[in-house]
Parts: sequence; structure tokens; C-alpha cells
Amino acid sequence: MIAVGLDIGSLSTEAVVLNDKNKILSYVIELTQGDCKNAAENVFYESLNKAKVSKEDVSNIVATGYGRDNISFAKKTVTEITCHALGAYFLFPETRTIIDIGGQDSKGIKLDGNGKVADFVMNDKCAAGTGRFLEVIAHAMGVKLTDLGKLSSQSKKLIPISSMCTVFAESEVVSLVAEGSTKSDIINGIHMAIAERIVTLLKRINIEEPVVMTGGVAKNEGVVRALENKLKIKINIPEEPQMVGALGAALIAKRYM
Amino acid sequence: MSRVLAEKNNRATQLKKLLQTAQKAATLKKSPFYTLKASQKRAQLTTNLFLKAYDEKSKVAFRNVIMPTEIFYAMDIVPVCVETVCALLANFNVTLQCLDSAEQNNYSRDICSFTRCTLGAAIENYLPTPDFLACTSYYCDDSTKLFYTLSKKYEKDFFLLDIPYDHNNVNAVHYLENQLKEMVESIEKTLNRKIDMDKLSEAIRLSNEARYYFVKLNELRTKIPAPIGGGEAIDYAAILAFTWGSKEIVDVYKTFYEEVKHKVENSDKPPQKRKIRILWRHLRPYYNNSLFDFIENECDVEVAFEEVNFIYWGEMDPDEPYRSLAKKLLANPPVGDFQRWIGVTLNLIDKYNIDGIISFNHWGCRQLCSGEGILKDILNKKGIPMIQIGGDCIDSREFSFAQLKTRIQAFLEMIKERNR
Repeated sequence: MIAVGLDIGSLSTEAVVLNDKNKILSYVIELTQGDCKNAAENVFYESLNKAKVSKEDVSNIVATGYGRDNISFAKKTVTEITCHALGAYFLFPETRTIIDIGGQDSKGIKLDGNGKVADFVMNDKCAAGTGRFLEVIAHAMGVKLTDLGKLSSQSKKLIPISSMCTVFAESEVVSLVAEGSTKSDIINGIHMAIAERIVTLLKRINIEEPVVMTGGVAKNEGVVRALENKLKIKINIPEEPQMVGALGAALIAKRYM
Repeated sequence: MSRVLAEKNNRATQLKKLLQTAQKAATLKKSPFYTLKASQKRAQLTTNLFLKAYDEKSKVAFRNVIMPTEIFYAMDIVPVCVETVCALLANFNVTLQCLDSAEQNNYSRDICSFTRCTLGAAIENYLPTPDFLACTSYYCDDSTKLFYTLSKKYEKDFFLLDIPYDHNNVNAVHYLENQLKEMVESIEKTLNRKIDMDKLSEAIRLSNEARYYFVKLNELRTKIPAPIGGGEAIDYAAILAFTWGSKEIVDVYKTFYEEVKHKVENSDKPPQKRKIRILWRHLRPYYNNSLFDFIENECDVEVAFEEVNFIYWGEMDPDEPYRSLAKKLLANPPVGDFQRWIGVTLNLIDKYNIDGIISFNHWGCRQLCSGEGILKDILNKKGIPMIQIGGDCIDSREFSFAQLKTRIQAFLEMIKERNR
């Protein structure tokens, strides 16, 4: 009895394969590249291959993420809020608050003592401070996305970044580079600005510990460090934060098998 | 704005221009929510009144949403509610042109889109030239500036009713009653037409009769399952209607009540699992969208009631029309401190057996959304979930259905999971 969860996001798509004992047999992460259906099919079959199970073994498939409604082979769709909550609570059973920063949105999810969603908030109107924002900044700085965290840890001086609009922040960063500021200091400033924005969002739902961070941005140690400093708490980071939504979807798939 | 004056300003020209533009735009779609004869009648009445405002012989008043219309019907004046016109223009597919026009004339995109759309419609010369304009100081300060601007551009008189914040003050009713009398005297001078007090009493009586049916209808809506969808009911927005005091609206609300009563009494549906029941705060997006269809059909929940249909005022005394209208204006829950409105919301939650609240916060609205934080805290303590969704009632350029869908669906999943 196999359950599969698919998380089709704006930037990346993930699949998680669970067996009937809730053991994660495999997971796969790929770029969506604007084609939800193709990305979902790819991660689905790849994750089955990795788990060494066949399509016929799969009893249920649940899709989440912005592309969830376009996946015809999924038997149910559930929002990423519910899925991230379930996935994070599964990995860290005492969790009360989840910070999820994905490709285009950021969320704060508050759980009750039983792991059920008690409240949530999402960014409105603008995708500043999300994965896409960091991609643009990394490009403007001429550094790899994966190096942002390490570079920011070398910062000697905090440079406040005033604009959080992706377009304006890019031009602000270019100006700072031209003025001679170091890349490390600028990136650190960017991370602090993101943290400030996320903390404001989170305060709307009254943060309670333990806190888990999910989504691709949780892989950026600079953003995590900035958030921990702002919130004065320790944040739990899953081994693979990007697959937590798909894990939640797989748990729901299993529930309805 | 100069174009309004530069162009030929007669109403026939204005109507011709509007209809020509509407015909060029996509075909009008009938709302999929209108299942009742009453809803068709209401839509027809609204359209007829709007078209009547283009008749050169009509005396026309621009009014904002809570300016009492009983006075206008008593004086045979056609009220044009500028906010409702924006929703109508959305049906004519000319809203975006109006919004663009306002922005091109230095009205910021951050201003409420009802205001921008009205300004744009005036600039484009789509609106029938009014004989005068009348506005209340509540809900929106923005409206008073809009009406002032329009009065200058059309070169017509503008009357303002100042609604006191302190609605409990012993002098509040008297203060407003006097203003209403003075306003009518000013309108008499402007139109060179005397008010017939018997007609005003009759308009109050008709308003009472329409109110009677709507209150009875609201009682029927407490039934589970909900006898009517919120997607259909929200378009009545009874508290904002510009038809109170007309003979026709009595028929519309009577039909509405009787049709729903018939549904309740003749429902042959087998008892079904109780659906999640939602209380809707504020308005909805008026451009073509499937928000309510998604909520009520795809998510299978009931929008059991909408605050814009809560009849907050009591029966009026036809022998004391001005005093009664003053009391009606002061009874409006948003007038005064926010605690008053919260009290109304809490009562509606109990009355309609509500599981959660969806609050559609219109972008650019500075009047009605700033108290939502306190409301949310109070509801949290009571265990009633509320989601605030930001969106625009008029400007479709700000609409992202995928974003709204995720928020609403997650909110409903949260309630369902709680009830599991």
C-alpha cells in the first residue's frame, strides 16, 4: 500500500513516496520550468523508480501547491497550508509554528496542540522575500543561489536594504556594489530585510515554539540565522525542507486510502 | 475632467456613448447565481432606474451608499448611487477604461477603485449629468471629496449630511433630523420643486413594507441547510440599496421572501450532512469571476449570510419621516466605535450558526477594514476562525484567482479539520 504526495510549486515540484508504515521510501525534487503536468509526471515516476515500486502499487495520490488542479492523475487536491502543517508536524511532532518560504510566497502557519491548523497568514500582492526574490538578487550579485548563506556569514557590517520590491531591491543592490560595499555585507542586509518582513507576517499569528521552517529558502542558512536572531529562538530545519509539502500530501493520501 | 464640459453634455449623448462602448465590449453575461425571479426583478429594476437617469425629463441625484433615498422618491428624483454604478459598469465591461482614465488624470491607483471608476466614468462622460449631488460623511471621507470634485465638474449643487460619530448623544438624532430638513429645503430651491409631505410619508411606509419582507427573509435564512446561496444574496446588498422608498422594491423583496419561503416549505431534498456555514463580510468582486461558485459549489460550503444584508434599523414612523430617517442613519453599525459593529457580527454568528468568517477587504478602503485586527482577536478567543482576503471589488487587474483560491481553500480545510 503506497501513497504518493506531489507538491507542484511555482519554481519546483516535489514527490514523496510513503509506505503503509509512514516510512519515506523516496523523494524527488525538480524544477517546474513552467510545465506543471510534465514536472509532476517526471517526479512521480522518478520517485517510484527510486522507491522501487510500480505504479500499480500506488493506492492514492494527493497533489498540493499552485499547480495542484492541473494534475489529472492525482485523486485529491489539498492546499499547501494543510500539507506543510501535516508534514512539519510529522517530522517534528511538537511543532506549533511553521514558517514556509517557497518560490513565490511566504506563509506562517500556527498549529494547535494536536497538530491541526489553528491559523495561517500568507504574503499579499507581492512576492518580495521569497525564493524568486533571492534568485534575482543572486543573479544581480553574480553569485550562486546556494552560496548566499555562506557568503552572508562572512559579513562584517550590516547594510540596511530599504526596498523589498524585487525590481527596486535589484537596482539598490547594484548601486551598493558600485559604491564599494562587499557582497557579504549586502547579502546579509538582504537576509535581514527578508527576516524583518517574515517576522511581521508571523506576529499576526502569535509565534509559539517549537518553530519549523520549510520550503526552499530554509536551505539558506543566512535567512535562517537572520530569522533566529530576530525572533530570538531556535528554528528546526528538516533534513530536506523542500519536500515537506509533498510529505504532507502523501500523509493525506495515506489517510484516505 | 475638462472633457466632461468640452463634450456635448446632454444625457442622450452620454447614454449613446455608454451603450456603444458596451456593445463593442464582450457580450454581457447573466449571473449564474440568479436562480430566483426576485433576483431578475431586482436586476431589471436597477437597470431601469439607471436608464431612467438618462431621460432628459428626469431629475437626477448622485448619492453615495447610505444617503437615504426615501426623500428622493418622495420628490420624484432618480437616485444614481455612484458605487452601484461602478458595479453596473463592470457588467458593461467599461470599468477598466474608466480606471485608466482616472489614473491618466492624476488619480492614484492606490485610491479606492469605486472612487477611481466613478471619476473615470465622469471623465469619459458615461454618467448622466446630475441635477445635484448628495453625500453622507459616512462611510467614506473619500466619497465627500469625490462628490465635491464631481459637483465642480458638473457645476451642480452638492449637499452633505454630517453623520455624528457619537450616535448615542442625546442631540444626535435632532442634529441629523435638522440637516435632513435643511437638505430638502436646499433641494427644493435647486429643483424649484416642493416636497409633498404626504408623498414622503408614503415613501417611508413603502420602505417599511420592503423592510418587513427583507427581515422575514433574513429569518428564513437561519434555516439549515441554507435556502439560498450567498452568491445570489450578496448582490441584494440591502443596506446599500438605492431603492428604499420605491414601490417597485416592495414587490422585489416580497417576491424574494415568498420564493425562499416556498423553497423552505417545499424542500424535498433528503436531510444532508450539515455543510460548513460562512458569514461574509463586506462586498465581493463585481467583474467576471468564479469566486462564489468556487466557494459554494466546488468547496461545497454555504455562505449562510452576508453582513450587507443585515437590516439594522427598526420600523420608521411615517408621521415623523425626518426623525425616522435620522434614526435609521445612526443605527448603522459602523457608525461610532468599532465595538458596536463587533457586537452585530457576534450576534450574526450565533443567529446563523456560523463556522467561520470570510472578510473580503477591498483594497484602497480605509474606512471599513482598519478594525479587523480587534475583531480577529475577539473571534480567536471565541474559537471562530476568520480569514481576511485582500482584493478589489472593481479593479480586475488586481485579481489573482489562484492566490484567493489557495487562501480560501486552506481556510475551509482548517475548519473541516477542526470539525473532524
